[in-house]
Amino acid sequence: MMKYAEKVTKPSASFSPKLNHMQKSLLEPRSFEHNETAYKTASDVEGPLLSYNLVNVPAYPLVQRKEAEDEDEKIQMKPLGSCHECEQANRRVEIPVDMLSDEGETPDGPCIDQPHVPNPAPAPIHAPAPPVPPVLARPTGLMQLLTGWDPGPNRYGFQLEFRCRSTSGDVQDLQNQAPNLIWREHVTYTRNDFAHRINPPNPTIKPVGGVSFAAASTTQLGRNLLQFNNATDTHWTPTTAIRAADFRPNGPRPLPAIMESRQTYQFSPDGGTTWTYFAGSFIIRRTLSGTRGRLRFSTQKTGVYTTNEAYKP
Amino acid sequence: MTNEMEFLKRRIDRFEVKNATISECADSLRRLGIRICSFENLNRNQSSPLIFSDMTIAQILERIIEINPGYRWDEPNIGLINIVPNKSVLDSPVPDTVVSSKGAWRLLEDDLHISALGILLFEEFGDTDGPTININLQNADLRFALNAIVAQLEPMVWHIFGQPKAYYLSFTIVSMAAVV
Repeated sequence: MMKYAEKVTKPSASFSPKLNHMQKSLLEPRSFEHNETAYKTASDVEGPLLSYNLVNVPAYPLVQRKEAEDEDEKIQMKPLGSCHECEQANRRVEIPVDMLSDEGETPDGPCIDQPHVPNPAPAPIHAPAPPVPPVLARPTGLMQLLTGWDPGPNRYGFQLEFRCRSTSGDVQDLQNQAPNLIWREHVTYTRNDFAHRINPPNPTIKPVGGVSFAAASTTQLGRNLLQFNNATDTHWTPTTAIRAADFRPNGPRPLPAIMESRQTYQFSPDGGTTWTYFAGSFIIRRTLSGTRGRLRFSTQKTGVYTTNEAYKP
Repeated sequence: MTNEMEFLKRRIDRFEVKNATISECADSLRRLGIRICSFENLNRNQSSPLIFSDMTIAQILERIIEINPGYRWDEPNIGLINIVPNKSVLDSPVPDTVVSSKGAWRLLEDDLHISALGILLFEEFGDTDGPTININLQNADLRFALNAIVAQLEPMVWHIFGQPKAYYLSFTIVSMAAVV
C-alpha cells in the first residue's frame, strides 16, 4: 500500500535576471488584447488549418541554458585576479598537452607558463581518484506539433504530437535508457466555469507507466530529433459539456466562461521513482464567449496553438 | 489485523476541502496518495467546507458520505476505495468479455459499450487506445469492470462526473507522497 512516493524536482527560477526575463517571456501567455489582427490570425480556424502544421515550441530550455552558462563560467574562471597575464596563464592550463614537458620538466613541479596558479593541495598517498559518475543524456526542447485531427460536430479543440531533443546531442542516448527513462503529463485545473457539467480529476496525471523513449515507441527523425509515435495531447471538449442554455441570457451563469488548466511535462530517469521538470507550464484556456446567437468557443494552449470555433448546438 | 484494516485505520494529520463535493473530496484524498475512484452526479453540489484533523481514512470517508446523502463508499480491492451513488449507471451490467493485450480505452468503447450507457471517455494525453490490459468479465457490472481495469494499472484510478446521459469518464495516476 501507498508505496508510490515520488520526488519532483524543478529548476530554480532565480539563476539570473537575464534568465528570469527569458523564462518569463517564454512562459507568459501571448496577449492579443491590443492587436486584433494578430489575434484573428492566431485564432481563425476558418483558414487552412493544416497550414499551421508545424508548431515548434522550444519549450523552456532553461536547464540547458543554465548548463551552458555553467560551462562558460568554468572556462572563464579567474581564481587569482583578472590581469592579462593571469588570463593567459589560465588559458594555457586548459591546453591538454604541455609542450614544455618534453624538455625534462618535473611533471609535478610548477610550470613556467603557470606563474599564478597555486599548487594543488597534496593528495593523500595511495588515495584513488574518485569515480566520475556518467552524465546521462536528458530530454530537452519539447516540441508540440499540430496533427490533422478533426474535432467534428461533437467536439471542440485540436490535437498535438510530440518531439524532443537530447542534451547529449544524440537522441539514441535517450532511447538507450529505456525502459527506465519515461515522461508524463501533469495537469492542474485552476478554474472551471463548466464544473456543473464537466469536472476532471485535479490533478490529472498520465499515463500510467509513463511515455516510453524506447526505439519501438519512437522514431529518430535526425541525430538529435526524436518523435513519439504513440503520445498525443488532444485538447478537446465535448459539446455536451458546453451548453448555451447554462449561460446568460438564458441561464444564470455569466460569460465569458472559462476552463483553465496548466500542463507540465516531467521525465523520470528511474522508471517513475523520481520526476524532474521537463517543459511547461503551458496554460490551456477553454473559453465560451460572445453574445446570444453569436457564441464562440476557443481552445488556446498558450504559446502553442489556438482554435476559435463557432458554438456547436 | 488484516492489511485492509490497517489501510483504513491509517491516520491523516489534516484533511481540508473548501467545497465538500464528492469530486473535490476525492481529489483531496488522491493528493494524500490514497487511491480513490469516484462517481459524482454534478446535479448534487455541496458547498460546505470540511476540515478534519487526526482522523483515520475510514472516519473521513464516513464523514464525506454523511454530508453527501445518497452516496456510499467501499473498498473493493485492498487500498482501492470507491465513493459512488447508492444507485447509478455504474450498476449497469456489461457484456461478458474476455480480451488480452487490448488498449483499455478501446475496450471501454468496443466491448463494454460505455457510450450506450451515456458515458463519454474524456482522455487528453497518451496513447489513443489506452494502456494495454487483459480482462475476463463474466456477469459483471460497470463498476466491477472499471475496478478490474485499474487493478491492472496501479496506481491509476477512475473518476466519473457529469449528469445523466452526459457522464464523462477520466483516469488519473495517484502519484503524491504516501501518507505516513
